[in-house]
Amino acid sequence: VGGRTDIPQGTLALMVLRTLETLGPLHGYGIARRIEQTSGESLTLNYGTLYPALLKLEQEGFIASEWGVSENNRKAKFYRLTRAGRKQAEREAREWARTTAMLARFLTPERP
Amino acid sequence: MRTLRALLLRLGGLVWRARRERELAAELESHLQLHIDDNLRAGMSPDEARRAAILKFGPIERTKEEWRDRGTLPVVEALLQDVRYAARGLARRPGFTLLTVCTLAIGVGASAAMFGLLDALLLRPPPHVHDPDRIVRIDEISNYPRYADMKDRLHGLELAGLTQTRVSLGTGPGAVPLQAQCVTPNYFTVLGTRPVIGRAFEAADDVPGGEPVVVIAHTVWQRHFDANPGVAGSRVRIGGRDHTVVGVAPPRFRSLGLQTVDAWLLLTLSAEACATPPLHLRASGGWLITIGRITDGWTREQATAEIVAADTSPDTITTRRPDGTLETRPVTGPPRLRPIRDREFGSGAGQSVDRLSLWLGGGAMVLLLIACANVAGLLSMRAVDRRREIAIRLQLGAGRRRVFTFLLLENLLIALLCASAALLVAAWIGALLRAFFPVADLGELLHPRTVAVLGAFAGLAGILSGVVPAMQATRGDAAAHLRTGTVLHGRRRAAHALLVAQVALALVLIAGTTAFTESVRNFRLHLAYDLDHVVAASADLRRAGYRDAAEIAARYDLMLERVRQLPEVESAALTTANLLGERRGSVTGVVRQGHQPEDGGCCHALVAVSPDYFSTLGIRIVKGRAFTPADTATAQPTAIILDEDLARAVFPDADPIGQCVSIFFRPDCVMVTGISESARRGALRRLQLDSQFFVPFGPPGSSDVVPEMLVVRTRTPSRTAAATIASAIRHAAPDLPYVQVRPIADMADDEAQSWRLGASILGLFGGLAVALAAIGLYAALAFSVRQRTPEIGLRLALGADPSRIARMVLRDGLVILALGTMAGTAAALALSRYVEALLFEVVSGDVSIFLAAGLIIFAAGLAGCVLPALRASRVDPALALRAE
Repeated sequence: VGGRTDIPQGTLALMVLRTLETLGPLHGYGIARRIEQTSGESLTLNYGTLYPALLKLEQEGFIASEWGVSENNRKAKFYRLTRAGRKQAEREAREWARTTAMLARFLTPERP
Repeated sequence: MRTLRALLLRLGGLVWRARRERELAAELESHLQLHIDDNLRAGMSPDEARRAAILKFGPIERTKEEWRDRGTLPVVEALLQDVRYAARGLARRPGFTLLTVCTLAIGVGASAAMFGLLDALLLRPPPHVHDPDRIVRIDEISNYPRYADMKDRLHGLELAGLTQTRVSLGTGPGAVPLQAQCVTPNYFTVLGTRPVIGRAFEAADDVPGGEPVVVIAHTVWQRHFDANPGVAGSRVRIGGRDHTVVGVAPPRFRSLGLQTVDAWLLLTLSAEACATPPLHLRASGGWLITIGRITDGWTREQATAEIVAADTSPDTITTRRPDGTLETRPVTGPPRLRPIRDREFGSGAGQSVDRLSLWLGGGAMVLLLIACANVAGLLSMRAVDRRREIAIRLQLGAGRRRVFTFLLLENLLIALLCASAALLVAAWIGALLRAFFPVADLGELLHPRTVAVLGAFAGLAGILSGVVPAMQATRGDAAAHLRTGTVLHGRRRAAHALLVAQVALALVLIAGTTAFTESVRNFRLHLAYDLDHVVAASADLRRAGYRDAAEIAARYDLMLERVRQLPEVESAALTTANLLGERRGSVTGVVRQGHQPEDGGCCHALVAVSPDYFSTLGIRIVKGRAFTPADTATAQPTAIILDEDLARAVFPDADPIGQCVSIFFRPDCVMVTGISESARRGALRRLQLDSQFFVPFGPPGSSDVVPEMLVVRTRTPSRTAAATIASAIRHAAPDLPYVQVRPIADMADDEAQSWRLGASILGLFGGLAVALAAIGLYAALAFSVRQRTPEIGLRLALGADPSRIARMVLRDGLVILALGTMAGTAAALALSRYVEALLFEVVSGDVSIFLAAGLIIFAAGLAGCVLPALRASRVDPALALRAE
């Protein structure tokens, strides 16, 4: 499937955290949709892979969950960012920024 | 931190699994619904909407699987699964489980109880003694003048002295005997022991003519003072004098020894009760036990050097050399500091208790070994049974390690069950030991340390008996097991070897028991007394403050009169000697008149008796006559009875009857009127230093020789009569101190206690061992019969005689028994040399012992063989063949 890539290792967690940071409490489906949209449809994401990642984040205390009702009146489990999660999101974002900046310096061809 | 939190949550995920599963399912369902709603809104048909959502979600089962793995810990989960499976397996075979658990529990429980005993006896420091490692014993200082001389000159050592005694608390019917220690005032300071109520002794207590004081034991305080917290200052009568209670010792404090101590008195102030020899006398040596505490900052070597240097005036003894010159040399070597853990403290049994308990501990370990062998046998049989099951697991892809772990897990589960059952067994055997062991309060036998050891034993036993079978089960070609049910001969041989070992070990235990039982029996046979019908009563009137000989004699006469009136009593007599107890009568020489033996006729025990003495005790007069009332008329005895040994020694070549001897180094003729059999026969004589001679008591008050004991011959068994006699005496004379009334059989038992103890504990272990071996034999044969059922069926179908089949099975059992008995006899013979010192008149290698032990084992073993043999002969050939 040309032009679409698998999701890079270890970035799914950060995407989830960022999504929750921007949009506030959201259910799994909503998070999945948002990640796909934000990536400009350039990611292939099996929505199912999201759930183990959510569980791991919850176990680590970065997000918390509770059952609620969606905008179209369906029962759904909503995830929200905890305070530790907010910090983690910032930290990881910083690290990614640094890493990508560094990589960018390697990859951009030197100007003549 | 985060990782730990996650780990805990994942562990937590192991519970509530069903609920979490449901929640996940609901969450995924809601996810799909939301997606479907969106798709519908985008204009898809319902079917299409659903399919697209499911497609987008990806493989749902893999998500669930990943989620589950993340939700819990897969390793632990597998383990838990195995545990659950193992538990179910054990529950499905309740007979096997019960047998295994009980077998192990018996072995482990017995070992743990014995460990508890050894721990209490040998390893644990004496309670309430501060820093016991710095306390030493100095055997070379054994009289008061030397103690006093050294005490103030040492800096590296603070000395204290003590003696042991028995005193009476109170008088009349309420009087009780106390085991007391008479000590120097600094005793408690040196031990570092603080009373829980009141105070310890102080130097100020110890003034000449001061008021006697006492520190009582915690048990005495509870039992006789109603645990009254205001007890300090109250007055009690001890040993004929009023004492002021100054303090109560902490619970379970028993000085440095193993025996109970009920009260502590001051050597100097309670001289009468303590029977303290005159303090200024140097000679009379050996009555004081000297201990000391090494001063902080001093090493044992420094303290030793100091005391050796300070020892300038050792006790000396002067002897005449063969050439006539005099030689003076010290009685003892230079002082040495010995650790108190040597445990030679206290009276009597001390040392042999240590050795005996080590042997009994060994017996318990043997029992544990048997139990392990038994269980290993059971498990390996079971492993054969489960070959198919295990083979299937291996073929289905379970790793060998997983199967091995599973089998071990099963054993650990058994070990866990076993440990809880073993606790019960240990508590029970512990209570038994407590009742039997001739030492004081052993404290808590199920000490945490003991429980830990028990757990270790159980785990070890479970693993040991499980590893080999588990290895066997997982080794080899799994597919081969699946194809046929071949009997593995190597494995059977191993199982048989285990059984032979069990039989052999059981035989060793039984042989040990028999040897100890023989010792007890021999001991009783070596006493001339009629043990079953004699009761002895004694009151230590001198220690209770009676000084006048006539008064003491009158008191005993009163006791004699009271007792004679009782209907249970056949006859009664007075005597000076403790029959079997620690003290001997006074010792003097008996010389044939006109002879001058080299040793002056030394040394024979003088026993003054009243006329009925011999008939009351059941001692035969082998020649001549017993005393008559006429013999008691004079203050100086005119008649004498020698025991056989003495008669032979004094009159090697003549008939003693009617001959004159002199005693007390007086020239008067005392006529030999009779010869009695020796109180102790054969080998027991070496336990008694002197042969005895008897003279009649004179009229009351005519001499210093006073009665010390009343012996009573009863019509009813002595044990039941003793209580009646005791109350008759105690109520007759309210001013008497404690009167001890005991059947002399009990007194004999006291002396035979180490043998009785050995016999009962080893007997218990031996009985259990035999039972285990028999059960093991039964299980093995029954199993082999089951394995061979097709073969047996075939034989029967071909016309074999059922009785021959039975014999075939029986033969297997008999071979095991025979081999085991031989091996056991060899082992017991090898060991017997070492135990001999603990026995009485039992020769190592006594054939009758092994014969008896062998018979017992054989009988029990045979009982285990018969049932399987019978079952084998009753196999229904048709059924057996069809099953194949």
